Amino acid sequence: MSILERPSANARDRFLQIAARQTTSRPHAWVRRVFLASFGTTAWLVTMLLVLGIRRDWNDLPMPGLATTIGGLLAAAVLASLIGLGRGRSMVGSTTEALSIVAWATPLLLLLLVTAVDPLGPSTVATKATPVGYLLHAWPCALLVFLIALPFMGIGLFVRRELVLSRPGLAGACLGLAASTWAHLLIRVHCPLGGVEHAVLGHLLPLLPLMVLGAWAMRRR
Amino acid sequence: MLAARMVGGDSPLDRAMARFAAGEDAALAEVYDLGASAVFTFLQRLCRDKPLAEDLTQETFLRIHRARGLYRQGAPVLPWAYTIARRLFLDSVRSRRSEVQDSFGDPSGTERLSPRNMAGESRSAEELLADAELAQAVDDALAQIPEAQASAFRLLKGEGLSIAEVAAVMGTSKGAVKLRAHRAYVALRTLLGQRVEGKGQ
Repeated sequence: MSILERPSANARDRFLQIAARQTTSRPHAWVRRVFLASFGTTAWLVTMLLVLGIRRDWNDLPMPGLATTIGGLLAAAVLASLIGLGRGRSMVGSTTEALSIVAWATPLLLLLLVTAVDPLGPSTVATKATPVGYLLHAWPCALLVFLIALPFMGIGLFVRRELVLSRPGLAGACLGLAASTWAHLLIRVHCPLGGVEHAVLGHLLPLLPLMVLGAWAMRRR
Repeated sequence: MLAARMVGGDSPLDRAMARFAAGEDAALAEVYDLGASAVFTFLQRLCRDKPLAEDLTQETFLRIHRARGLYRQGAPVLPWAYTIARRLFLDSVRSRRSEVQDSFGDPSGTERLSPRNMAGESRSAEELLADAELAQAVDDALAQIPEAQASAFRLLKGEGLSIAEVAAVMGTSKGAVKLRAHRAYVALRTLLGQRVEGKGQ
């Protein structure tokens, strides 16, 4: 129960006049956007896979390890995308709890896949075991992950247009995380360099700037 | 006007929004008529500035209008509207901090609390005056505590939202909402107690 007051009749008329002139999203726009986003994500994945190619030692990799890596990355990317882009029960995005869990658990899961499981086997290309050597081999992969992730983030921002979120920063971080996980998946299939150091520096580290970028982009809208 | 509202997914407002989202343009006026009072009241208590509250109410419904095609059938509209309204208010505070601070100092609030705006016409003038004084005292006390605590209290007790809905509106966890509301109760009890003691002396 609440004592309610009304805006003036003038305010109502003014609102209806402005609304009549304002462009609005068409009915069922969300369904179309989700379809377009799914199509765009798949198309970008396939295109980049064709451009980059599959790592040359693919056929020598152990099947259980391969399935674990690809399955884990795919699950993490889909989950982060769904939670980061979800409308939520009240149209204001996923709950803070869900966003927080994804924002913390996904990087840990990726780190676990890269370090503890490391199922894609040892490197087929020698890396210099010095910090400079690791960095030299890592930066092209890190740049590639960052650049591949940007279109994924653009797709997410397109889906989110016109929606006001209760936690835009956190949702944006999840979007950046999802984008970097999709890119990580591609680079894991492409890059033949093994080793925890290379995987962490070259494949995993770009998720941090991408999370920050996602949070910034979502807050600015 | 005393209004009992449904805040689930099946209130008249939610049904009107569902029709508007499905393509019935004329339902927009109904959405505004059913939801604007609650949003306007919330905003006016938040910013204590009627013209600003009207502007922000208009912008809130324009945002809903723009997002028409994104509406999920059955989603409760009021928590959505409160989220937009609160975010617009916080943005306006950030961009016009000094002007808004001036408006916090507006002590009148006479139109807002005038008996003609309140339901229960048959009640005695003394009861209406006591209600108005209490409402004014609560508003004054809420203006002295942090915005997050005051909003949690208003949405829970004033607007009748559930804890989960308030958490969604404020972008926080249910535990944080309970904590903020509890802190608001404690602060209100202290501030109103001081007021009673002051009157007694």
